[in-house]
Amino acid sequence: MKRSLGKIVVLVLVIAMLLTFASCAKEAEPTSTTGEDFLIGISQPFMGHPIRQAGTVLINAWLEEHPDVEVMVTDGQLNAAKQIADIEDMITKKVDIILVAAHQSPTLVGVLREAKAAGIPVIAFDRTLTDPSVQVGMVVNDDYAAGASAAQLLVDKLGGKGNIVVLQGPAGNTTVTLRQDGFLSVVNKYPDIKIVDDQVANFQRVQAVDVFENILQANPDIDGIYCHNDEMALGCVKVLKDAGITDIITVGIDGQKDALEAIMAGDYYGTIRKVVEFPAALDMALEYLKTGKTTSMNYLDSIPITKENVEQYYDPDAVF
Amino acid sequence: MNKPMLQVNNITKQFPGVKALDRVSIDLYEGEVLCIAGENGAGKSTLIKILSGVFMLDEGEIILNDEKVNIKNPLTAIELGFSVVYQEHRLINNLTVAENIYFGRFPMKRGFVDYRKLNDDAQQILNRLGMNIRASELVSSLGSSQSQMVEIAKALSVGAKIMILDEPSAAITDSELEKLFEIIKDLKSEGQSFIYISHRLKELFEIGDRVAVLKDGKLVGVEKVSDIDTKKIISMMVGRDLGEVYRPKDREIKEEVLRVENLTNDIVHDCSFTVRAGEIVGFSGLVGSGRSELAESVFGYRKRRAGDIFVDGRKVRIRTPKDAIANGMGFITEDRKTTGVILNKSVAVNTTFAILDKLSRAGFVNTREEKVLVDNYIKKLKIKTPSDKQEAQFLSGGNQQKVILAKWLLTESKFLICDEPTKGIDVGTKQEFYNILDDLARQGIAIMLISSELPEIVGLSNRVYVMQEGRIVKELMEDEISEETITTYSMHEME
Amino acid sequence: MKIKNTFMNLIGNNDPASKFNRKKMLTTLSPVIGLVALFILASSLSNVFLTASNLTNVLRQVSVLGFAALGMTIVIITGNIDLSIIGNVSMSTTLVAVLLQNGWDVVPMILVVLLASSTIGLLNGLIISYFKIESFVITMGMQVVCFGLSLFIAGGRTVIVDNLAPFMLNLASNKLGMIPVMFIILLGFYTVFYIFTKKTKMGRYIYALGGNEEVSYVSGVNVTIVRTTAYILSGLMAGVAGIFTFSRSLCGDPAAGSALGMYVVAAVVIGGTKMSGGRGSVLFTIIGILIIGIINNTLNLVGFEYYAQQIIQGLIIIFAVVISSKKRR
Repeated sequence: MKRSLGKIVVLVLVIAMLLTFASCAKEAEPTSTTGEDFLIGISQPFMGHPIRQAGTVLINAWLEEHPDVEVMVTDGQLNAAKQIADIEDMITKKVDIILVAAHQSPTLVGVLREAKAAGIPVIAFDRTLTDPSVQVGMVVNDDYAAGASAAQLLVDKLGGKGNIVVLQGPAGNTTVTLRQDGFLSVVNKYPDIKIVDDQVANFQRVQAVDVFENILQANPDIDGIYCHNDEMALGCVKVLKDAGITDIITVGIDGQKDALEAIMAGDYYGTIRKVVEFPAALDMALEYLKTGKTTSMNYLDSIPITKENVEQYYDPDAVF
Repeated sequence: MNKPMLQVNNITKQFPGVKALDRVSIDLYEGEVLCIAGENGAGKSTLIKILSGVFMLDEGEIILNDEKVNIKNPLTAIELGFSVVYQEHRLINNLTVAENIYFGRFPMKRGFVDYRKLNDDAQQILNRLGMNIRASELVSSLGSSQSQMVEIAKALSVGAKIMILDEPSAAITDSELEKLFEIIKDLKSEGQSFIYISHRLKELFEIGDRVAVLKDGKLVGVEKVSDIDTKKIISMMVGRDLGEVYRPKDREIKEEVLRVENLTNDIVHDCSFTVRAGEIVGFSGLVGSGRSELAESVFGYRKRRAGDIFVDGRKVRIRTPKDAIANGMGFITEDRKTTGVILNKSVAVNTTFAILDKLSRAGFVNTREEKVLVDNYIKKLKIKTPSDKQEAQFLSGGNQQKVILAKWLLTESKFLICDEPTKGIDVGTKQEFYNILDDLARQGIAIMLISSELPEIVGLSNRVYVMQEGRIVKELMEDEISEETITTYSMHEME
Repeated sequence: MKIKNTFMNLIGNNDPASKFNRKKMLTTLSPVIGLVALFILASSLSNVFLTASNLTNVLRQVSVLGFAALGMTIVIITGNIDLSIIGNVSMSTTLVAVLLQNGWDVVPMILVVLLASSTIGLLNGLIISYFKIESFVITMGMQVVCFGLSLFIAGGRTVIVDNLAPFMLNLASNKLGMIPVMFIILLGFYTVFYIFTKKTKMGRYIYALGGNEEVSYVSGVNVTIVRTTAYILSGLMAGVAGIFTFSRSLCGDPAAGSALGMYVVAAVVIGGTKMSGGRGSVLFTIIGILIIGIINNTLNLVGFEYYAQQIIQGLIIIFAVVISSKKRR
């Protein structure tokens, strides 16, 4: 009896310690109390992807230049309920503005309306919102357009006919849906393009390797591959390279640094450039907080990158 | 025998609300078997647990070979030479005999276990004990008595100076016990000392040099075995003189309640028997002869391969215990803790567990009616419990057994199987149980009594079936029943 | 003294005379002590924690977990476990969305969803009973089946419903005073289940199954029916959790249930129900979900780095299991 009581006490103490430790760490940060102090809430859907990690680096760099701004970053852990709770907590904490990249856009309709009702402006980054009426601005990549561009890149290279396979991101994910729909909108126009296999590899390079190896076993007659992101495409590129196959065209989306390097090396045919939304989204947020309006509501452009133009986008110091 | 090797002086152990040991002093000489007798709760197991380092004593001292020792934990107890052979087995079934004997102390050679030496050493100890087992055999292939011998071998191998045997006869048959006694006598002549604990007083006289009697945590007295008799010990234990242990068997035996024909399962073959109303029918035989397995198949707890069961002359279909209960059967199983009571549930819940259908209206249990029923049985069977809400695990074994009995009486069983109903129960409660079983039979209940204690079978049964290797080999009528006849028939083919 | 007696009655033990029960009360109370301590800690760490709107948030945030953990409590009391719950919640959520999208009325929709989710429980119970396999393995498999089913039902993507009936639209956001209606419904379910487990015949059988399955069998109880009942109830609650998951996000996310993850087991265990079965109370699971909800809420309010949050959440689960683990002698 005493022991289990003791365990509870230990549990509470440990949590207390951790919380106190963290709040001390917070207090150690310089907090100027001038009238210009802003607290920006950033609701990320997931922290495990390179583009999110790049975002964190860029956010921190931006904060160095803006000592009057603090951020509250939350991790949705790839789940809608967690992200709703995160945003609810931001509303209670009365952040000045919310930047949100939806894990599942439709799930956030209700809670973002609550934010609006509480007088907190919302800016969408990375992904569009189902109900744009709640937002004061957006900095997003157009995943539908990116899917379409990728399709065009692949179809053109194949001369309008051939057998292709598709590797998708996690089922049910908004980005996945858009990148797939955009892709199909183009491919469906070419009757000679056949999708011989369509599998999920969850945006992950390692999974893509396994999945694609199996696909290759079953379908020796493949002309092209479309992957929902570069990570998976680079997995396929590795499989092809190991197998000594050079005549299969691989296309992806994101334009991350090692993808560009693979394009320069000639292993990877092409990708669609995705722009990391930071610091653009933070600049927009600060502009809105200071002036009450945003100058632009923009989609970031979907630019196809192949060996011909890769030099102009490659930056050896880029974080993504 | 001039100076005792072990002196336990005035030790006291207090538990919340109860003094488990109250200034108890005992001494032990080299080459002696000291028996400890007492009812359940008298403090026997507390004493063992203090000597084996499981509990720390509150007051008093322990002097071993003229030196005061502090038994802090089980490890120091072993180092000091105390070794307990517990009543339930603590061997690891899927290891060999040798591995069990030397568990945690394997001889090593170049970083690997030296199996040759391990087996040789173990075999030596086994031979010394006169045991016909190979050291490389798996423990799971041994019988209960053999496992017990292995535990003794293990105790010897750690160099135990004082071996404590806790109810060694609980799991083995009489003939196996004799073998154990021979070994104890051999070791005794080599100077080994024993503390021997048993409920069976007969054993104390056979093996003991002196007997110490405990009652309610206090030492009643220590007597030379040659100076006293059973009645004296019992009166010391219970503080009163017991009358005749068994009542006369002049019960009125009526119509047949149960008839089993040619029952066969994985253990028993072709068993046929009958039990009549008002009759106690004993089932005797060595451990492993299939008595419990036969009962389990009658009750639908073990799958039957062949055979028919008739209740009141009608053939019935019994595939699960539910069917058996519907046909008026009750089953007091051998193992209280695994198939008898739900330890973490209350006396009330356990008592009414088999009649909830009758006790519920629209699915809700009528707790008011329940309390009346339960309190009635607590009174009737003299169940010692602070209330009907007490969890069964805090009751003594005898009282748990009474709760199980109450459960089957509430189902209005007309046929009751009692498998070792007095196992591990103290003398006073045992006596109560004998009277209760007799009362039940006189009320017209048919009772199938399985027991390894021959006096119990002889003293209670109107008829006895003797089993051997899964078969009923003999039916003894009332005038034929005696320990001698039963033993003869149960041993017949093995001689 | 009177309060204590009432309390003992609440946890199903009304014999204050016994010393064991006094000990037991302290053990049982420890989650409550933990909750109170956590509450004080949270309010001292964040000045917004004690605001009405935040407390409303917490209650709303724990409700879905509460429904799922209620079913899990019943199953854990029988000495089994139901890992299929999170899959079942996902399946129910997408089923709600698809049915509503196809123009179903609310009432038949709810009936069909609960029927489907209970069927999953029925299958769990029957398979475990008939093949006598560890519930852990079977329900783990069923979890994957359910996730697959929800993707199938949803057509592989989040289902968005147009023209939602006002009832569904407001189900999660309605409040009575400052208490979300969702949480009141949750309390209703807990009360019903409490009475069910403590007062009815089947409730006794459920506790007894976890206490000692063999005794139940020997005493003539059909253990298959008891176990299956527990799993059906667990499935039913997963269905209810699914309906409220939908009402919270207003769309059918095929991965919705994964949000609950290990929290379902953790909430039950933190509430003092033992994994070994036979002991515990559904009422204390409420304490479990509140503890988890407050910790997650406070971590956000205090502004923890996301990685630190995950570490703490993981530690909480480990601690929960440590607390539940049987004491060694």
